[in-house]
Amino acid sequence: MSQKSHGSNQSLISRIMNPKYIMVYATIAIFLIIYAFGAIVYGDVGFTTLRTFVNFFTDNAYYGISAVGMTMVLITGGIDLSVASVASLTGMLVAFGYTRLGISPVIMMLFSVVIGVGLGTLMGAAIHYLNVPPFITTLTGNFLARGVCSLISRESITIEHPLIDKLAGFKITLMKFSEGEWVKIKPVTHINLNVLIFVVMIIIGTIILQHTRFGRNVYAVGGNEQSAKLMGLPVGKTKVAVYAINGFCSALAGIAYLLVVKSGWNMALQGGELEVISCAVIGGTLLTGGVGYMIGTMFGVLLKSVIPALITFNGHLNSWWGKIATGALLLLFIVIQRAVVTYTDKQKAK
Amino acid sequence: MKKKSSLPSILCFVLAVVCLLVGVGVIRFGGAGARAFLDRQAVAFIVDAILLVVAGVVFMLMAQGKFTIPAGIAKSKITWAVVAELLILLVCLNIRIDFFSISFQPSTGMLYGSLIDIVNRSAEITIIGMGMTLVIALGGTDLSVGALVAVSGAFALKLLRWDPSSVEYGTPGDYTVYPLIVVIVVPLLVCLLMGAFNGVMIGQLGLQPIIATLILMVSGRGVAQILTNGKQFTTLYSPFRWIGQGSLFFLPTPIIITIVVVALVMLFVRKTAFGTFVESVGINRSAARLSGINAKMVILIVFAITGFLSGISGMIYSSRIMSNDSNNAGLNYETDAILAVVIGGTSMSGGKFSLTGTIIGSLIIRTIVTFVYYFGVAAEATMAFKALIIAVVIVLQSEPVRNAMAKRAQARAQATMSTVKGGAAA
Amino acid sequence: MPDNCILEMRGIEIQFPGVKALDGVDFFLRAGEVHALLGENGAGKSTLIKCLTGVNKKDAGTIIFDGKEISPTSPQNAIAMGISTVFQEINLCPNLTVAENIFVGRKEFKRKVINKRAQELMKRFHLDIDVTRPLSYYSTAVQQMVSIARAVDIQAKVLILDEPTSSLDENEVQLLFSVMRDLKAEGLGIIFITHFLDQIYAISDRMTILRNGHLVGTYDIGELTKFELVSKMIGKDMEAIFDMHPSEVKADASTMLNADHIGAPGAVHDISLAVKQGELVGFGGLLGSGRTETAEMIFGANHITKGKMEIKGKAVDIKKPFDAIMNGIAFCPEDRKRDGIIGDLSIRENIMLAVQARKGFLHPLSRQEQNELADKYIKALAIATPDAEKKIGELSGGNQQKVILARWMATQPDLLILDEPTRGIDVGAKAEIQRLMIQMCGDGVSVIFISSELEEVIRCSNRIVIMRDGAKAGELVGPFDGNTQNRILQIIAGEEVGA
Repeated sequence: MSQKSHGSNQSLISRIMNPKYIMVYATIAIFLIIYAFGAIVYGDVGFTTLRTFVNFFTDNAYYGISAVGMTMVLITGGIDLSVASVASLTGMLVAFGYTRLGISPVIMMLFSVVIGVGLGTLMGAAIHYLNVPPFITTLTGNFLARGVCSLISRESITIEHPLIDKLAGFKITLMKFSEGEWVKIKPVTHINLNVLIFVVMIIIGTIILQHTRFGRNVYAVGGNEQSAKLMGLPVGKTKVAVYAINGFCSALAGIAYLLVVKSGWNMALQGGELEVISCAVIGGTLLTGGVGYMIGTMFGVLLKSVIPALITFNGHLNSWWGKIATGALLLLFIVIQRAVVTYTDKQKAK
Repeated sequence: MKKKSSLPSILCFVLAVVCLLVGVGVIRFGGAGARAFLDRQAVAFIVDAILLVVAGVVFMLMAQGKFTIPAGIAKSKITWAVVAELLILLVCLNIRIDFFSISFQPSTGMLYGSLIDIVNRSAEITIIGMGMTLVIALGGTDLSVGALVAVSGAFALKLLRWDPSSVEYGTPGDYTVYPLIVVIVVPLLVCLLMGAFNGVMIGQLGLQPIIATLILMVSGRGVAQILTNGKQFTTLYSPFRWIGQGSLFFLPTPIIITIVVVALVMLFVRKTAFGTFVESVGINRSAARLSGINAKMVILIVFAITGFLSGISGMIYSSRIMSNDSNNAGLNYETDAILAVVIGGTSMSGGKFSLTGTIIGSLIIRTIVTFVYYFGVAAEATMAFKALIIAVVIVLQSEPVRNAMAKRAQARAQATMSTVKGGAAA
Repeated sequence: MPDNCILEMRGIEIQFPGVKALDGVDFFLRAGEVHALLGENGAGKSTLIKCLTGVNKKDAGTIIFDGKEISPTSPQNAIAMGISTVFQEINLCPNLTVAENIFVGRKEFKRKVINKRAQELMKRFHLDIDVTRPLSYYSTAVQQMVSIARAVDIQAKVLILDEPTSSLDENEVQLLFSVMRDLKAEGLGIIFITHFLDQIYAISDRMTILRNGHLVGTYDIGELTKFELVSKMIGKDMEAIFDMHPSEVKADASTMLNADHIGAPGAVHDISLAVKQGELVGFGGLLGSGRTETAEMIFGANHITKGKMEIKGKAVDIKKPFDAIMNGIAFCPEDRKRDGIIGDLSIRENIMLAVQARKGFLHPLSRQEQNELADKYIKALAIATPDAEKKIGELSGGNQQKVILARWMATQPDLLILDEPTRGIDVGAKAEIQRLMIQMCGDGVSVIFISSELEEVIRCSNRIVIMRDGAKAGELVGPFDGNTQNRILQIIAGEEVGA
């Protein structure tokens, strides 16, 4: 049989070369190529500094946090269009709750997380038990969250609270050990709370997907729902749970966004759901379900940041080139995905 | 046979009498404000009374087994859309009767009123909805329509204002650089080509519609901005204004354009075999291919049509604001159009479609918006209303619910049949 | 009762609307044996299996498994009791790794543990593969092995293999057999369903034959010759119902189709075939011998890469079904549900579809023409429906088949290819479709008729082409006699080179 190979003594190389990671590698490779391009062209004006690199994380951290949940939803073969509105609603709830009603932001944050998870659960249930397409269900959720947000307030509400300031101001300054003492890296580079949450969420997401029974079920449901049912897996529970988790991530992303803008606005993050989805897709997650990795999603988010950064460094190009570049990037990725799928199909045919 | 009446029918008749008495002014209560409201709404109460009588008679006949709602209507998904639209309008009627008033303005030669406004403002979504219906019938979605609306507007404004000889934009005024026909046709052709691009990626390359059209959705607005250097231009060219703000046969031009587009699409789809081909490919692509249908071509045509129709919508939109707006033109049109199609009873999984349903869906969406504006509710809260109504319609249309209702209806019909028989025997 | 019996099914009866799918069937499986379950399509094999795995409820009879009476309620329930099934279709998740597929939904889930155990398990199956790769990376054969591994590792006592070999090549089949022998030696009872007669003799210990929902008998493998086995599967009692014979082909009939050494990679390597006007050519051969693939090639559903084809003496290049339709070819596909019916469309629309496709959508048939067409064929083919507007998906299998036939008759083809038109439909509809076929030949249409039921091929055809392993193995010209079936079987079995 042609597939006979080095199976028993799993070398590191064979593990790394596993074809299931190919899309993640493609994402990382394209990120590195673009980064290298930037380094060559704008290296002299600070593109290669650690600060610029950390800013790739900082710029889109809230999208990244949301993308963690989205990746899981996409792996099950679903989609969630409500994430940006739920995030916007979270910001609004916290800002309104404190500024107008005088409720502690902590309580409002917990409350909005409950709302996010609740809405996610509801949508997941509608998708599984009522058999309404995820697209339509979550679009309705999107309208609902955005609408409630607008009912609360039509204007942007600024929040000033020591806790918010403290959280937003939290930063770790990166140091290096040089000539016998710790000195700040130049230019001074900080890691803020959002970046920390983002990275921690990516790690937690990876653990859930790769090292729990639930994670395995998520992949199985996305691979072939019918088979998953026949194998006796809890398909319904898995789907509902995934949307609930995504609701949690959306709320968390809303809090992260609040820390950036320090205000709640009903029209905040409009269209953000597609930014989040494209992060996951550029990161190698298949919209057909069954395939996706958190680490890929993370690089998807970085890719989203590196393009505007290049345009900024260029100084001449207009920001709208970013949109076209994102579109082109998406095209590139789905063409690669398509090619990979066709290639593996051919391999199998042999 | 003993005459049988049912509780709902009795309730209807009692309510009808009450409404009638209120309507003709026999019953009056409350303070001056309430009285003024009741006087103003008199006609509405009479309408309610008539509707209640009709409902009561229907309930009575149903209880006697003389009348059953035809299976075709009961099963049809459009029924729910129509019922929803009528109920919303009924609510409007009962809150403020002048919601239904239509007036004629001789200076513009146009009819005015909320109802006219609903139809007028639904034009963009209805027009795109025609294409989206076909896309969804194929089992796909098109997310790029909103971006194409922006592209169409940007292109039109560029042709109106951009002088190629001086490579500059002139000052706003009642002029055009290129003839109107070019201003209209070129953007539409560009949108047609962009739609065809979607079609090629989906039909020939076999990409998933959602992701394939996401590309143009994301980059389309970038293209629109590049066309106009990211600036917003205005024009005062009056023939262009006519497209979105003028009138024809006493009606706003967009309504006329919508009627023409709907008629053409319906003719194309139902008077040729194209509609059947679309349905065949949407239901069973393999069987359609083996029957000799060129599925890839069908997909290409459908997406190209959708692109073209998005272009028309963009033209109307930019004529309404007499400007291009690459960021906001056509914003969320894709979701509104998809919702209009789904509310109209076409299933997201493809197959049988209903263009009429989509028109009703589009009207429902617009009625909600107009309702909210008219009654001074926060405009942004429209979303919440939309969500609630859509949620209700979609839950009612969902498979498990419809199956359960069909079962109940069947059981009830059998029950009445047996009682009727029993009664006859006695 | 035979000794050492792990599973006894007695007097099993299953009633479907209108038909008795199983009527008093007994089936005994010993521990440590491979027991072949045989019969034609529709004989009741899969119904019996579905009854055992809890998909269908039995109306009468008892099942005793491992000494206790059981009545499985669902496949999971059956698995939990120790009855595992491997279907022809692979019910696994292609995106999960081999190891994950074996262990998902079970107690062990730690990567290291399942990878190690999966590796051991695959070794037991003589497969040295990397179990950490996704299942889709491997061939169908390996995937089939993985599904068997999953089935067996759930402490199964009975393993049902439903057509596991239909997509495997010879080496892969041998590999599967060696695994089956190992499992047998471990005391597992294996029920083996296959269409390949050679395989039955290669691996089975005993066999049970079903026909039309009845038990024909259970035999030791040495008891019956291949020929006796096939005769028992087919039975003779059908002949009385069908007293139809093909019309004579006119001596001066012109050649309709001439295929010269055509082939396509992976499907058929070499077919030469000539069909005369008004001739009914039957295709004999086992499932997977290349009959369907040949038909698909002629119709353009599979692109021909080798050889030449002529229609009415003119060379043609058929690239897609549309080209074939334009050349007067029509094709009723084997899988009615997947490739034939458009379920949500009406009978009228389904009938007019091919005619309309040929004309192009810009030249629509008027509603009146459509109605006439539909009414004409509903009447001619006696399609049981209140009107032409009923959805085709709501019709019975036989009536659906007639609608598909009507779709193609409406194009007034010169050459009609029918792939298993009589499969899975009741006896009455079967006879009607055969009558139509013969009648069309009388009207000058050439017909290629593919069927797994040799009896009807012999009875209806003017000439029979016998296929084996993707190539033509022989050809017999009618009129046929009682000995024909024997000769065909010998050609299929490779014991005689066809004339």
